[in-house]
Amino acid sequence: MLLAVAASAAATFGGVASAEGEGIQTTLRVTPAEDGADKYPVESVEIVVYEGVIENREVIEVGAEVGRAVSDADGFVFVPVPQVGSYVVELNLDTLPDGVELVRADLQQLGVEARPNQPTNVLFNLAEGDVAAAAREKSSDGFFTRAARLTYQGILFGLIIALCAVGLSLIYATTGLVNFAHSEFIVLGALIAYFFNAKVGFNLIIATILAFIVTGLFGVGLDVGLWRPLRKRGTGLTAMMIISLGLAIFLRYFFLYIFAERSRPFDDYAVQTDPLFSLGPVDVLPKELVMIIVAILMLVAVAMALRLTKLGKAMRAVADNPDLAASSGIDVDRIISSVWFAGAALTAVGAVFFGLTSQISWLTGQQLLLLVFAAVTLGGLGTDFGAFAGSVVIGIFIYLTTLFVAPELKNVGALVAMIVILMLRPQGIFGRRERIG
Amino acid sequence: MDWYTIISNTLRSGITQQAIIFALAAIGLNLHFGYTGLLNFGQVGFMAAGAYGTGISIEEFGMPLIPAIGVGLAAGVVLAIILGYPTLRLRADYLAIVTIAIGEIIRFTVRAAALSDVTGGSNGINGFSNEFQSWNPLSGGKTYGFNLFGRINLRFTGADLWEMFVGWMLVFLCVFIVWRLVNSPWGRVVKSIREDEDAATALGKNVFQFKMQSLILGGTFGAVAGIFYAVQQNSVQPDNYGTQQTFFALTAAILGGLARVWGPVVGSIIFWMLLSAVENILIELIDAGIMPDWLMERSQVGAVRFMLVGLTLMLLLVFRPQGIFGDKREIAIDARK
Repeated sequence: MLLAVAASAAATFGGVASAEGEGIQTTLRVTPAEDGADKYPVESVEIVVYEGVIENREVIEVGAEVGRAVSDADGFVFVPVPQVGSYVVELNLDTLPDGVELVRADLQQLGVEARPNQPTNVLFNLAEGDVAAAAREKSSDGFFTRAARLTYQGILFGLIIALCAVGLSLIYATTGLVNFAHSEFIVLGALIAYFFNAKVGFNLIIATILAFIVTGLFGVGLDVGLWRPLRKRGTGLTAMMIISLGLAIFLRYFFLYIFAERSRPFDDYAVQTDPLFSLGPVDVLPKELVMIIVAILMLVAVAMALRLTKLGKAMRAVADNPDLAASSGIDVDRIISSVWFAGAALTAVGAVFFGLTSQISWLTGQQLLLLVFAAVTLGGLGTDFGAFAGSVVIGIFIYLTTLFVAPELKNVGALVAMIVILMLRPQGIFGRRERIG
Repeated sequence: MDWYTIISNTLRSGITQQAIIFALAAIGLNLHFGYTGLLNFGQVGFMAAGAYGTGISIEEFGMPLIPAIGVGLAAGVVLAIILGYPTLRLRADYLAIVTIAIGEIIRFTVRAAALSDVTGGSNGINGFSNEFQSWNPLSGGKTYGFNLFGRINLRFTGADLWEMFVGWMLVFLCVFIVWRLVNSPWGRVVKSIREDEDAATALGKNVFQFKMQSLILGGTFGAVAGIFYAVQQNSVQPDNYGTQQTFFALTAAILGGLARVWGPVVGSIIFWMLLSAVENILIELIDAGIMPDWLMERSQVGAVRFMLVGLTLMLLLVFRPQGIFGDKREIAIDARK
């Protein structure tokens, strides 16, 4: 804390535009009205930092004030924060000099994840009156512009959900188990990736591959150590569902025990602000493009594998009729274990992707699980394509609802949609009629 | 190690308000799952409906406490009907998913800032039920009770004793109602639905209607739990109505024994005594320096005791699904339906 204050003092007096320790920093510079003129810094503009809850860079909740500071002659402001975590940064509009405006009035508050041991940058886009008006005109968020951006966010989110949902659906198809502990694969996957990335120091891509493998093996371990013996004992599916709930509670609090109540960002790619390219109003960040491509490739690979490979066909045979599959020489236990591996491993990738767009805490799994359920119910429990399509629909639906309702209620819409679908078409959009039971 | 503190805290948590709240919620779940075979994972939604129904009636509409409690109960009934229509025809796993979702929908909605004029948003509603303590015949601030063996503290404030008295009376009343119900023709029908829905239909029973009645009744017990929780705390906080509450109540009900009238009550008492014992022993071990730092700090005790809840639920279902007092033949956990 002292160090951070000292560093900020040094930055202020020395005019060095950087500081050490955890904190939020920004350099406030104004785009002038004349063409071609350089941006100039503004002095004594106040920045206030609050504790907060953010999601996907959106501010969900603003908490207690953490600190405030005023920009120096170079427009530089640094506000130290006590620890890594999520904060809301606010620009005090009253302290702006006359004629200078914030280009996007709705971006007066920014959600930010403070990174460990280094300042985290935020950017306020300031401009002189006329330019601000012009810029606002250009990026003025008309209904369709916002709808386009939200649809894009929704597709991205839907693909993340799909990676988690396909596993849940496959496990259901082969074993009949509605696995409430699937949520914990999400947290585990993100935790392992975080461990290898931030603690061990591997690149996030390698950390994700390791998370894929370790979470998959954990899924196999659960199957061999818990679910297979229960199947052999003839434990009923309702009992198994409640056991999976107990397992979920156990794992969830185990993650709280080792992870504590903070959310932490990955070391790589956590903050990306420069878009790779723009599709009309939609800015595509490089990491988002990678996530979309990887997610689609993996989902297509699963669909192809299920239809074309021997293992995939065996999986479908087991899903259809385990006894018949066993009597035709398929090693049912091995197939089910493979499904657990694939289901858990895909979920881990989804978890890392979610961690790159939002934040992961010990409760994330529980929060996402309901959306995953909504997705698979919508698409039809037990089908891979249904899980994929349901997820994308739910993702887009969740984001588009924010056009009409407060962001904090966006998940409510998805859950209500799930219930409505169950009333109208219990087997889901792509489910087979027999699955309602 | 201060064993007297451990023992007194453990005993106290078996008889204080928390055990009462979860006993009431578990009585409802027992009627749903134990007797009728309906896997309701959204009991907390009924608790929230009762609590918010009461709180909003007092805070917004200035009702006295008694009619406000009536509104809370009505809210539970209405929720059961809304919940039941789309879901009661669904299979157990779908029902579980939908009920858990409805619980969360209610929590998200009441904590939304958009509704904070009515529900108080994430702050909830506070200080609405002073009327309840005004009926207390004891002096609220005075301490009553005794020290068992001179060392085990069983002393409570008058306010606590009044709440505990009313709470346990409610528990007895609910148990009595369930006892009369399940030993009536109605009880035999819902048990037959649990055993074999098709057979019950074939005998001319309107299965949907009986399920709905069971959902309403059990949900009302859940609402009673929520109302008691809110009135006794003199506040409703949205985050006290998270999904884990349902799961704790479910664990308590299974622990005591499903399809037994007293099962959920005994289960809740044992559940909270167990949690309290573990918590207090761990804290004592840490304070005495016996627990190594790297293994556990005080802030982690809460997590560890809830890990124990999950483990208990798993072990019970694997090794003793009938709980302590239940009958294995009466547990609806084997059917695929």
